[in-house]
Amino acid sequence: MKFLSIIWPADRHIRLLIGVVLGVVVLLSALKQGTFLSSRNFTSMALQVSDLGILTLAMMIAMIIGGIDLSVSAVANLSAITAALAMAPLAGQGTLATVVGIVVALLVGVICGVVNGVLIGYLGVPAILATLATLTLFGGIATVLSGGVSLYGFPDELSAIGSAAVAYVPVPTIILIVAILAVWVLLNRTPLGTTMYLLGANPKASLFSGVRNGRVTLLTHVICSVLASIAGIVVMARTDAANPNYGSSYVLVTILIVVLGGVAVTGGSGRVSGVVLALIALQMLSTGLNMLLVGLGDSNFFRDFAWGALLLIVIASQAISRRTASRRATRKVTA
Amino acid sequence: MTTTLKRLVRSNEFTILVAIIVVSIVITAINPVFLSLGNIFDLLRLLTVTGILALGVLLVLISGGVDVSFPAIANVATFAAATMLLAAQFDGSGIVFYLVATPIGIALGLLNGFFVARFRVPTLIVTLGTSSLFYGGALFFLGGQSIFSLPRGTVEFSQAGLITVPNATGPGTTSLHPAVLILAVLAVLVWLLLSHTTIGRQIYAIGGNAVVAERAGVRVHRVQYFLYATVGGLAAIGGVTYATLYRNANPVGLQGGELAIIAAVVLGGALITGGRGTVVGSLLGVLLLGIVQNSLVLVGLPATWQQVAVGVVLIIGTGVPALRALRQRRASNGGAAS
Amino acid sequence: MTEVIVSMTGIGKDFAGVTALHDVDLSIAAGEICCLVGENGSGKSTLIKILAGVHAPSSGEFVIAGQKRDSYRPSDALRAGIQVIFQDFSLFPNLSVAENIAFASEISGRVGRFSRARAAAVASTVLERMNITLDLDARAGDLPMVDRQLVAIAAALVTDARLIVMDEPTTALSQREVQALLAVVKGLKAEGISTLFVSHKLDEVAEISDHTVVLRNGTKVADAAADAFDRAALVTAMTGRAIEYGHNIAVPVADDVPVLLELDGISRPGCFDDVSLTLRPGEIVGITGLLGSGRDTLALSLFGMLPPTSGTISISGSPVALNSVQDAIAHGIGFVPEDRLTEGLFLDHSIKDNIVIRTIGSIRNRAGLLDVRRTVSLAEEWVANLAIKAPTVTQAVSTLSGGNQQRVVLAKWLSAHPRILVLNGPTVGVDIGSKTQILDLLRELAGNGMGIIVISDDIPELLDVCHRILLMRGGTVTDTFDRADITEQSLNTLLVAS
Repeated sequence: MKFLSIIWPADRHIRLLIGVVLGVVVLLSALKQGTFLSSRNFTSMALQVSDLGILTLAMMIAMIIGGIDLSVSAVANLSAITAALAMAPLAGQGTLATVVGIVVALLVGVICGVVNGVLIGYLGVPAILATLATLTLFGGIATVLSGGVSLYGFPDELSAIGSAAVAYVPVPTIILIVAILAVWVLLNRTPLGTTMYLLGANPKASLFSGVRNGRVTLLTHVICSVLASIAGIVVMARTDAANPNYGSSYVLVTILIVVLGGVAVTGGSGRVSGVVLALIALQMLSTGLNMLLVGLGDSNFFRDFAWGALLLIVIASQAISRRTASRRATRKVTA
Repeated sequence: MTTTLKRLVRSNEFTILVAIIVVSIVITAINPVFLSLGNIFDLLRLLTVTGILALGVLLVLISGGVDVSFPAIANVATFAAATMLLAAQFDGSGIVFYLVATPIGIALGLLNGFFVARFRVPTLIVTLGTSSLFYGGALFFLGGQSIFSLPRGTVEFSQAGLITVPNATGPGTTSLHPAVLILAVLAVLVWLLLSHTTIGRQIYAIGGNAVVAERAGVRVHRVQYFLYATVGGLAAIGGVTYATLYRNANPVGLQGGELAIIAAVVLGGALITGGRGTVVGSLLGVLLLGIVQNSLVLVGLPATWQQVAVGVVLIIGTGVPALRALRQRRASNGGAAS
Repeated sequence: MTEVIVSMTGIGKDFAGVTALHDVDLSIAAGEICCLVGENGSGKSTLIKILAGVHAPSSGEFVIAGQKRDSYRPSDALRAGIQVIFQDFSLFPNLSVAENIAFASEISGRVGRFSRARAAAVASTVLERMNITLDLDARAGDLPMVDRQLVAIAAALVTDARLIVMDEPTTALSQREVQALLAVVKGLKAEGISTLFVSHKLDEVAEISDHTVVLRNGTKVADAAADAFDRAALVTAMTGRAIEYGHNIAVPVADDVPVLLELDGISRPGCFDDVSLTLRPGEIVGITGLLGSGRDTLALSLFGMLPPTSGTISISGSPVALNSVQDAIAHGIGFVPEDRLTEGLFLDHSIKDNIVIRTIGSIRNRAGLLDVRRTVSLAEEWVANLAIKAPTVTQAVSTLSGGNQQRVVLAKWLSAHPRILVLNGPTVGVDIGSKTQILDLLRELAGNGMGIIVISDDIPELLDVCHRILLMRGGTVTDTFDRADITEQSLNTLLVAS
């Protein structure tokens, strides 16, 4: 009985997303049989989705507590650049360098998370504003450290992470999968996770229930920024470069995916499964658009157009269904 | 009288002004070129477009929303207008460029207004969507190449100068561009709107407490449509001015600049939660950020450090008021009636 | 035959399955002061919102200013001359005092130019009429509560109102200001303007009412000329229970039992001053007084949210510092807040989540992760203990009735086994059956050694369950009544004050 509820989720939103993904797969398989249904294509999609996916998970948890984190890309880049600089003097010792690089990147993530968490959780700066400021600061530090250019020359071991594959699954994708599982466990199987949802749903009631709002916010942003730095490591491994400006447009896309995935903008709800499905759906749509529009102009542009339209449609439909739901639901009112 | 003076001194605008004066003095002490007319004119030229866009950002912030689509509207309205004018082989007055782009900007703004008013979705999310929609749509359907063939009137206007002085940091001359007057006129108009019209006060009211505003008879939807239409128009004017100053219509020229301008307006005293903000404050914020971004080169700060400097200013600018508010809350007596 | 301004017949209002009002008739004549009386949860606010055009009634009809109304929005109400001052004062914190006062005439009621001078003139005229002075340029959000209430009242007087509705208008006012306001209301009557005065302060009602209407649980239970009621009759009508001051007297706890909680002259400027109180295990102490008397801030103080600036709090004999919610919890204090919906519950979340949130940090399995099964069983245990009517613990608390919701909040705190439980308005908006059960629960908890403090407006409830009742006024404790010693006279003091 329980197994059935896993494969046929009760959540309408999730069912819709599954439908979209299946629909896209079927359509593209029919139209572009050879190209779409190839292992090369799936590997390529899996790779593309890996760092974006990790950043999306970071954004997701920031939004669950009712906030947002505009600095995720900047944190990823700063982590990568700091790691690159840390690895440079250890040029000869590949494995050691790689380990050092990874540790440094994660440390940077923690520090950035603490900065965000203190600003938002303890000083009470609105999340948009705080992360706007830190986005600028972290990006600026990254620019200074890298001298404004991309850094290259990483140990082979690091590049191996980016190019290796286990049973046809690229390592970056495995990292993404691990991250997804970790976030799922955090949100569904830890006290912190439940507390995060409740903080996002009603910060006042949370305070009155004895929750340490500031601490929860701090921890959330540390986790968020550490995920961002992991994304930075993945990008470094994949592209063999650390760039202070990589993925600055990713922030918008992650918010799009998170909202599509069913996370309420005001916080308090949202499931990992929804976000993962939205991620997959968007990646497939993106690839599909690329394939379909070959020769018809830059498909990236149409993709942006489509993303915008999709977000607006989803917003509208969510708002409409909210209105009908509140008319139907049983709500108690103190008169 | 003394209460007004006291209020003035404690106001956010005054703090920013002091900051600007202090920073200017420091920079000038290190490099007197900063205060040269040539440098000032260059700075004003850079800040004209930002200033025009900041007016729109201010309007939305006061109403309680955050709009990130204004660079998209600015670029797309301008690019679309330029495309049309090129197709019609128009080669006349520069004003026509403005007259064609502005209605497009207003229309794009109305789309924002529709989603915000009708579906009550936070402006940030709506404009994230429309930003993508506008940029993607324009690039895909209209092409991605900058247009360098602009009407003769526009080209002439771009070369105009009110006052010409020798270039501060090199040979040749630089001038005060009349586009600054466009900014000045728009600033006055927006100020009049906000302080001296009922709809302006209603925008503040909505930002202060939207529920109460509705109860008090404010037609919130109508105000929002007007608001976003106006912002769209302002963005379009900013976009055309941008194209004029740089002599080409770049469909993505302003992309990515939204956060910096929002930050400038917030620095100038607008609350991100809405209900507060002034034209003077916003322009001062734009000026401060502009000085930090562009003039630190004069003191020998390498270009790579610019962003850090801006970041530090932002952190101080958001952290300090937050700290102050925190201390105030701790000393308060609970807020509620008892 | 005096003109009838408002005539409502058979008004009913359902909010998706919950009936807030049922078959209510109300008519207000021109130049009349009508007082609407009722406890929290009686339907007063809903009725006012219908009058203001904010809600549409589910049934019934109303005639306003001679016209039958079918679709009726806030702007229609304003145009018909009905001005409502809501309990939240409906102010714009970011606008000036003058703008707030003159809002209807200078901002929302006009298109085009806004003149600050005109707004100032309008505002000062009405303030003069009320005989008060305020800084017209101050931002409304910076004003103390008192001034904010005055601004709200002034705003209502600005328009050509025929009926002004005031919802608990004197909550933050001092005696002197209350008298000034009542004088204004009487002045309005002389001008032919009607007032619907919603209050549960019976002495004010007694002073100005021409015509009193009592609501209870969404229905009208009394409607007559003001002098047809005496105080006791009013309270009985409001609560549905007669005041039985001789009945159910709690047995006092022996003096040799060591004191659990002691407050010694604690003060916090602007909130309360020199409050002293002792609580023994097994005792239930009640605190009552008007809104503004300091009772609510005192409660928050015990929960660590508004630490006292002087005086000592001792628990089991040792002084403690309650500087944060964490401190209070660490000392075994639990708090059931006044506003269940915004402060006590996470409405869209499950009963389970709402109950376990307090102790969730310690519900872990051997791997250190959340023991989901235990959260479910814990929640189910408490649902059974407190007789919460819900088929599963995974449904959202928004689907529960007020009484059941309150029990979820109680479960949350009881699951942490507090030694001291502070409750603010524990039976507000709760049906009679649940009220009795909750009071029985409090007695049982006290019987098991818990120290309980109940803050409430409901005198019969306090009489039913407390060992001692403290009366607060203006931030200080003015009277302490031992339950066993309550006479008719001391009862009257209590009733007058609340």
